[in-house]
Amino acid sequence: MGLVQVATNTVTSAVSSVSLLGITTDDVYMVALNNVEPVVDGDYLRMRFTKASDDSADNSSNYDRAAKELRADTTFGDSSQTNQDAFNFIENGTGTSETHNSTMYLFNFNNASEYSFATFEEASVMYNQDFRGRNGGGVLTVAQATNGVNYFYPSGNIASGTFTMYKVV
Amino acid sequence: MSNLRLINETTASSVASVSVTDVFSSDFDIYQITINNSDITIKDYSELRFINSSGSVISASNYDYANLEMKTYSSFGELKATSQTSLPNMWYSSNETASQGSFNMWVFNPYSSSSYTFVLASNGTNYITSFGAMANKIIGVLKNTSSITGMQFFPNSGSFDNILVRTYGLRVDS
Repeated sequence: MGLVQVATNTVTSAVSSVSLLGITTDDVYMVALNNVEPVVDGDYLRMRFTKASDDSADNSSNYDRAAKELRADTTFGDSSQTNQDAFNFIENGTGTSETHNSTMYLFNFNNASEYSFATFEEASVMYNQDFRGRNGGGVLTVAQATNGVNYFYPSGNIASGTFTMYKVV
Repeated sequence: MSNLRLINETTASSVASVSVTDVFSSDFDIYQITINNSDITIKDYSELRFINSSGSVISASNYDYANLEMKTYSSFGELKATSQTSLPNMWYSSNETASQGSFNMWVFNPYSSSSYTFVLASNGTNYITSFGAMANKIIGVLKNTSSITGMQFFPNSGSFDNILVRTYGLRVDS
């Protein structure tokens, strides 16, 4: 398997969101996030898909996701939602390395007749230094072409982190 | 050219542990590690410790982990702990030649001296005679901001008959 970089954004001063665009083929794409930190302590990263029609993040209430939440501190949990306006990840913080790190794979984005799917594996240190991560997947139940992904923290900005998208070749 | 670059290939036979040294650097923030052809002398899990830039294996109680065991032969299991001296349950190997271990891992920010080192790992279904198959999803973290340059793998018990470790760097072109 080879990975060819499509887009990247390294945040060093706070921004409201990050979009990675550039899905133009029927290949599978991969996204890697490392050291993503919020401005607001306790905020949780959210993810949307961007519409190929205008590059905007689709904020319709059509996101379904399901994941197993692995926890180092307590019993694992089941985390699922339907008809939301984005996917949610674990809460992060502003203390030492209270960051989000993950890999995600994107499927069927370029196909206007299909829903867009993602799988994700996450490792996050929370605002209280607990360590958790969600392993699962999600779907945007809108048959449209999507061309990228968008990340944001709902209560504030993204303080820092590196976001990169690759095409799987 | 692929942004996923092979950095190192380490093979070993008849060893109690295998160290993969000087593979993490400022060149990459994210690495992919694969292990296959892994036989051990006793059916058991293998463990991971990181190696710092001074060449020391880190065995301080700073590792947290969680492991979802997905089994064909019994209920799924949860392994988890904080403040451990290693990441203890990374992949399970049978001691049978036809049932070697398999392992894939992403390592985040090991070389950074301001970040913890994070791990995402999974292993393919490992077959254990008289039991069945088991697959695992694992997360781990070393809560230590030391600069990490390598890894050490060792079985919980017994030793490696054989092991092949490949380390790849995932390049980000600015």
